[in-house]
Amino acid sequence: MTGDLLTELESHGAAMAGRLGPEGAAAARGRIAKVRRRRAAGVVAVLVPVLGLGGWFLGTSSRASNIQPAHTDPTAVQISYDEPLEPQVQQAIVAGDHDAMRKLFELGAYPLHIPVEGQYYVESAVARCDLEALTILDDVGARRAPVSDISFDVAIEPAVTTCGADVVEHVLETSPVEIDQVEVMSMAASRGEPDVVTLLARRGYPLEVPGEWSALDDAARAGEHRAVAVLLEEGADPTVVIDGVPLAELVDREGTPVEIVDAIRAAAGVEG
Amino acid sequence: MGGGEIMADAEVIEELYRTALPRLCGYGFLLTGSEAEGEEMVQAAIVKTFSRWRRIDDVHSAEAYVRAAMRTLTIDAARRATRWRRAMHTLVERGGEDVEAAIAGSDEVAAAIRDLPPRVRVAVALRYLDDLTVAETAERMGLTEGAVKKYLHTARERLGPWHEALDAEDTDDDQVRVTEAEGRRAR
Repeated sequence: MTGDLLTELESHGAAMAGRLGPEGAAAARGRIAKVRRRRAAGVVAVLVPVLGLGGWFLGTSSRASNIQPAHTDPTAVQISYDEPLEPQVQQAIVAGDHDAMRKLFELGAYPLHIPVEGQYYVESAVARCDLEALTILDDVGARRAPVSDISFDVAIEPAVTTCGADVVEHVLETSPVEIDQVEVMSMAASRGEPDVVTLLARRGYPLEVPGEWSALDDAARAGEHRAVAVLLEEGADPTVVIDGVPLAELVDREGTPVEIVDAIRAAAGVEG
Repeated sequence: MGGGEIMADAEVIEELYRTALPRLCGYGFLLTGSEAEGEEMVQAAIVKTFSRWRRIDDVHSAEAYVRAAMRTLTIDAARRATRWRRAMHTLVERGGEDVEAAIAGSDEVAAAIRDLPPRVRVAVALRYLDDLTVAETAERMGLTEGAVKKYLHTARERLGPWHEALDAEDTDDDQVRVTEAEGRRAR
C-alpha cells in the first residue's frame, strides 16, 4: 500500500470530475430550476386563494371577478397508438395531462412499468406535487417500491421535502411499506414545510427519542426557524437530552442561528 | 467575471464546475468511500445549495456551502441508515455479504474510508481538507475537542499508511485516547 490520503483523494477527485464535469453543470442547473419552480408553485398555490378570498371579503367584486380559480391547462399529450404506451404515460404525468393518463391506462399501459432510466411514474407525479396524478396512479396500482428494494417507497422523501401537507398525507396513507416514522419526521423537520411538520406531529409521529434524537435538533441544525416554532407549539420537548447533552447546549455548540438557540433555551427555561 | 460584480447563479455554477469540481469530488470520495456515490453526493449538494433562494456571490462561498451540504448529507444518510438497520435488524443480520464493498469495488483506500464511521469521515474532511483546527472542527460538529481527537485517532488507526502524510502535520492529536463521554464531562 503506497501513497498518502491527500494524493489518493486528489487522484480519485480528478477521475470523478472528468466523468461528472462535461454534463454535470447542465444537469445540476436543470434540477435546480425544477426545484425552484416547485417552490414557486407552492407559494402561488397559497397566495392565489388568499388573494381571491381577500378580494371577495373586501367586496371588491369587480377586481375579484378577475381572479379565476386555479385552472390546469396542461399541454395535451397526443396519444399515439403505434408507439409503446408506457413512455407516453410518463409524458402525460410530466405535462400534468390527467385525461391522457387515464386514457393510456384504459388502453392497457402497464402500471408496474420499470423505467430503463429516469423516474418511476409515482416519482414523476410527486416531483410535480400533483395529487390528482398520484391518485390516478394509486387507482391503477402503479409501482411505489423499486424492484431492487421492495421495502422502500420512492414517493416518501420527495413528497416530504418538496410538497405540501395534502400530498404528504396521501403518500403516507397509501404507502405500501412500513414507514419509519422517526426518519420521516426527521426529513420534515430539516427539509420540509412547516405544515408538513404539523401534519406529522398531529398524526402522532415522534418528536423525539429521549437520549438519541430530537426533531428540534434536526430543525435547528438546518436553520429552519418555522419548523422549530411549529415543533415547540406541537409539544416537542426542549429539555430533551441527546447523547448526554441537553438540547439547548447541543444546538448552541452546533453553530445554530442565535435566534433558534434563544427560542429553544427560552422554551427549556434555560437562562442565557 | 469582472470588477466585483455579483455573478448570476448560472455563472457561479459554471465557475464552480470549472474550477472546484476535482476538489469537491475528492471531498465526496472521502465522505463516501466511493467514486459513484461521491459523484452523486456532489451533484445533490450543488442542487441543494442553489435551490435555496439565497444569493451566492462568488465561487468560493459556493464551494463552502456545497461542502457544508455534503457533510450534512453524510450525517443525515448515516442517521437514516442507523434507523433503518434498527428497524430491519432481523433482515440485516441474515446478510453476511458486504454489499456496499461489492458495489464500490476493490480499491484499498476506498475500502479503508468506508471502514470509517460517517462522523469520523466528516471530522477528517473538516480537519484536513478544510484545514480547520481541532477546536474549530469540534465547534463545527457540535462536539468536544476530545471527541474530535478520538475521531481523528480512529481515522489514523484505520487509514494506516494513507494517514502518514497527515500525521506529519498533526502532532497535536498523537497518543490521544479520549472517549467522547470523557470529553463531554471535561467541559
